[in-house]
Amino acid sequence: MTDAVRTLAARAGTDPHFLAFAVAEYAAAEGLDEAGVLARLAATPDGLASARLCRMPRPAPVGFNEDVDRIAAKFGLDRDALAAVAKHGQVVADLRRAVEDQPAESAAPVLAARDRPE
Amino acid sequence: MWPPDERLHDARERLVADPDTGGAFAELVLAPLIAELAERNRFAEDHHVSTAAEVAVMAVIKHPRRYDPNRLPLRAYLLMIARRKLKTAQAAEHRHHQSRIPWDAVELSLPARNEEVEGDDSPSLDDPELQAVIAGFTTAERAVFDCLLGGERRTTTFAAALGLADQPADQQEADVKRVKDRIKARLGRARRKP
Repeated sequence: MTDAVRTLAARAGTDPHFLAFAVAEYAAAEGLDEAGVLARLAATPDGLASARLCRMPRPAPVGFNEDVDRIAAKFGLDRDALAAVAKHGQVVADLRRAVEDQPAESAAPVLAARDRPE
Repeated sequence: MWPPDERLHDARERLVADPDTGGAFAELVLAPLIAELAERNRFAEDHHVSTAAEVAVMAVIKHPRRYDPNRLPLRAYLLMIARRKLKTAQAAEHRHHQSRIPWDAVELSLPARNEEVEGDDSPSLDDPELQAVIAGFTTAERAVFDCLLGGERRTTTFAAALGLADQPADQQEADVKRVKDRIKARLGRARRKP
């Protein structure tokens, strides 16, 4: 696999559509660099790059285990570690969506309270 | 070098059927896409070219069904997305430069005078008169102007921008100087308008 594809796979880490997002968020939360991620997932650089460009596993219980099993087997990743990474990524993605979906009015009282003089 | 269309077609079909094949698809198309995009946009920054290609490849991996094989080849579809992204990035950078590049970068000499009044001589390329002149540039003039804005000084670069790369050096020098002088004169006249 070329360096350009590995770069692209890492770039996908900003998009919750890709498993790369979960890897990036997990690495940030755990303070792992690239070598640390490879070690945690027992992956090769090419295997990790290919896994990053997979679609994020479907949420549990619908298809999560099936997707994680398939990706781990296909690209030679530690199955349990991958499951932990994917779950972490899904939680972060859900939280972000919840914040983004929050109506503007619900934030207003907080802002108003902060603006009130002490 | 692009793989044959049939191979690209098969890779995209696999992508539709199996969302785990994004890596294989990227491996197949990314390098030729970057190469062709760079070839067609010789003055684009390398990182803009590679980023635009990456975005295009990710778009197809993410939404393979949006591509309609009956309308155009996959290669052309990827190039279309990448070129759009590249133009957006270049436009954003151009706007950034317009507001930040000092007037000296276009090599226009300021009128001679002995007294400088602070703040009265900081011409902006946002000036409507200058904008009108810039909008009237030909493609070649615009390429030269962009080179000037970027601080480029090599005659060979300007010559390439004008499509004169195969001309003798003295001819390149004369033609480049003529176009640069014309641009500077037009910008200078616009700037002197009250």
